[in-house]
Amino acid sequence: MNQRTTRLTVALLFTVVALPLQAQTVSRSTVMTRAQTYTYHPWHCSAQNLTGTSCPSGYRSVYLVGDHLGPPYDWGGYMSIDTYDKGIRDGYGAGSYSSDGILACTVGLDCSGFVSSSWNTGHYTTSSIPTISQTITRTDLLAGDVLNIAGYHVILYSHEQENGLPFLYESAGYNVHATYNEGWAYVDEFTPRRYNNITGTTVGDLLGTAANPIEITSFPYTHNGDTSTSLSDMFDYCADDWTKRETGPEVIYRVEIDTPGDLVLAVRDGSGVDIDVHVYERLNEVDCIGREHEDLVQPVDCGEYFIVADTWVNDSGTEYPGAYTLTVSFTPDTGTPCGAPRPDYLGRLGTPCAFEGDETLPFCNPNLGTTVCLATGDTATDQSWCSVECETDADCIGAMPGGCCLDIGYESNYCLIEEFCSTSVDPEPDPAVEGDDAPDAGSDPEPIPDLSGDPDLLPDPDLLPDTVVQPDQQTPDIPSPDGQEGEMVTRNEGCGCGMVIDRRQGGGRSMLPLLLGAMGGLWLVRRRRGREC
Amino acid sequence: MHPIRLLHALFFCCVAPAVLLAGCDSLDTTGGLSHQGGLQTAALPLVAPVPAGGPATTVEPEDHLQVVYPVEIFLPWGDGHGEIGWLPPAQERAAMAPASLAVDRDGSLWIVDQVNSRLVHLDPAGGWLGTVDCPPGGADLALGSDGRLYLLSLANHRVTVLDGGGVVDTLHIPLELVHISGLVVNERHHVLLIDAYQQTYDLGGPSIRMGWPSHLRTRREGIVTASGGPRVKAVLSQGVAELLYPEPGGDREAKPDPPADRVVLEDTDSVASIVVLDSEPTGEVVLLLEFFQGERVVRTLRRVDEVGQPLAEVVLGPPPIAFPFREFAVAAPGVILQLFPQADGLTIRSYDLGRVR
Repeated sequence: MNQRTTRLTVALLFTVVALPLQAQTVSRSTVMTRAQTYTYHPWHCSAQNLTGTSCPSGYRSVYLVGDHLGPPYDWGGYMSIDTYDKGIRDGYGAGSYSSDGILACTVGLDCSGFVSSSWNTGHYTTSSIPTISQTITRTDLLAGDVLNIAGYHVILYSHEQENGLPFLYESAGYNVHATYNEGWAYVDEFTPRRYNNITGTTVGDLLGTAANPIEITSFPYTHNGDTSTSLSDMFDYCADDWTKRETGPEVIYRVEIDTPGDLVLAVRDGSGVDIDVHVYERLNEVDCIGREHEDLVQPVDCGEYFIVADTWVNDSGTEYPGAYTLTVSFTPDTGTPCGAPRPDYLGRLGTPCAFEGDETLPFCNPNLGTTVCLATGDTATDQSWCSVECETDADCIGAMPGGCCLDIGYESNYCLIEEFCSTSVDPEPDPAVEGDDAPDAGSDPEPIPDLSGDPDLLPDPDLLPDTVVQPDQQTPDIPSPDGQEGEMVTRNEGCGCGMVIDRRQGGGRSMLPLLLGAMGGLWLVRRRRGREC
Repeated sequence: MHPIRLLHALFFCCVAPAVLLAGCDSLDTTGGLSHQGGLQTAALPLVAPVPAGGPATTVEPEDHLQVVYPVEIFLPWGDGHGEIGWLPPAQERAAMAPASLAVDRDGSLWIVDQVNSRLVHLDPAGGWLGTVDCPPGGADLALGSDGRLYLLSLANHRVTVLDGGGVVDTLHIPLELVHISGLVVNERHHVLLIDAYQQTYDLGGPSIRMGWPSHLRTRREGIVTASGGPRVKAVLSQGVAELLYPEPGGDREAKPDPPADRVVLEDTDSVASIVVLDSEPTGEVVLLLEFFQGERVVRTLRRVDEVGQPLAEVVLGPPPIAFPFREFAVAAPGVILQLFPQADGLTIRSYDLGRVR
């Protein structure tokens, strides 16, 4: 039996076995959660997935090696997320089109496969979807309904955006994705349909997911959960330890802390199950501040935290979901006010912070007033510091001696460290500078390049008439765009909460002298241009 | 090899306005807009695509604002010289076709030929200038002030920077930004991403950028456009379209939504959706509006002034064959180009919404 026949048989089998499932009802919440789980599912495309280990020689995926969201469009494809992940790990091809034929060597979902998976019906095609759904009007559309053209395409409807455009989910083009720009004209020819066994009129957010975490309102707290039944699968790693794979489903809790202290957490699970416990400051993998296999004592300040019971995955990709018991207690630091620095707090204003070049550094701590990690590049020799949006230098100097508040682009002023703030007032333009190409008064003897062709290297021009930034003693060199090419390594991430680590090779020089030189260069350029005009 | 054909549409000029306006409450089928707010009573003419009066002339760089585009440029489907890629719709799969259009400083056109993984370059009259290979998955294209092309790939979460010789750089889009819909490159080469919620993010430039996840802090409410006008956001409020002009630096949480920043658009009582296509420094905005006409959708391009009053409007024809793509590009203030895929090829249509020549 060739590959195409095998795949077709599988598809037909799904249709047959799916029939008894018609009696099962499904809520709109479940439908939309399933759809979003596919849409925002992170996966990594390897070189093997480009050609497929067992695919015909003519097959070639349209993907690039790297990290992606949403499984590929795959002609005739219908599968669970777990099956998809396994296929990718095993070197199956990433998606296919009708021109490839129905292949058994590829993974992904086609449009009806995606809708069928979201409805949990077994695989129905655009032509057979009418047998399990009824026609409705456009004004009746609710989340979980579809727009269908038999023999062509089917799209899952979600909601209407505030500008009136429909928000849709579909497997089309390259992958399973959300479609939100196309307007009603995009679905003008489609027939609105409603699955016969869908229930409810609204979409609630399932308990234990990011949209509706389980609230912890008192201590001690105990909860018996089960990650194998959770529909949340957005966290795959914790910034506290990027080596641990937590790519399985998780259950999310939320807790409000009104006095500094220690969160004391314990998770216990059974045989064949491995659930780890994590603490997040925000629902983002990079904001995971603590994780442990079983027991964790996490110092916390006042504020909101999320506790996550996540499924561990071993190196071969085997997940260990299942039942667990989570206990949470809290030991307050009596007499310590909210916001008081604690010895184990990191990420203050001006201190080094995690960036692409050094991910071992701490994250900027919003509880300490820092919101942003600025970096001069992305290699280990580059520099980073925690910063915050500011209005004046005074916002920065207190915590960053010598620091200043400057616009680094696009409406944003941020605190910069002293090295970027070596300024001097130049009330009168230097005639030598205006008159010829003499270097900036008092600057180094190195020629300052004209960077007019690289305005991206320049600070806000509005700042410059009153401020002259002295160039660094090094001659600024403008990076070659090619020098920034490199490999991207990405931690797996989930629904809106992932992290990208960009490891670029061969670009190890510091950007600091470059920026300083660029600032001085701009000053010269502007004066020259002003004279010419 | 297929020759390039230039076609001049008769449909819009002769058929579309009268037919499509019937039953559209806020529009006057006599050929003008009926202004019901009492502020303006004069009817504005519906603007049909204006024939160029001959092939466009080659212009020097920076003179693209004076380029006059033909009403239609046509490229047949294919993968060769003079052609552009198309995967026709088939059972159980969606079509794939040209994804986006950008206008170069000299008025020439760049089209994302995603099927053939290349950028097609045309002169303003539609003459074939060549192609540049690009990675697959291109979804939107922008011209930087550096003359480079910035190609957004949603499937691969990248912005690829190209020049005439090919790829020169790649920026990786953080996967946290899951609903990105388009990009703009500002005067400092900062790559600005627009998302589904009409918010703008700054990926930074090549010299200094945000550490992760700090790019999320660059979020600003409203859409920026290449024309350099104010950020603006379009919403429907009680069935009427409004434009919101967020305060500089303001984001969703911080913005108190002051009435002074809210402009109610005339003649949008029955509007189904509204999208901002361009925002000009003068305060004028070009919008794509949808109206329901029974079970069908009527679309119009409308240019409005800073207080929301219509300056010009053109009714668009039936929607192109459906697939997700960036359909419109701004060639100059008030001049909109549209990718219009048809059975036999791609038509690039131009609409002149009253620019000053």
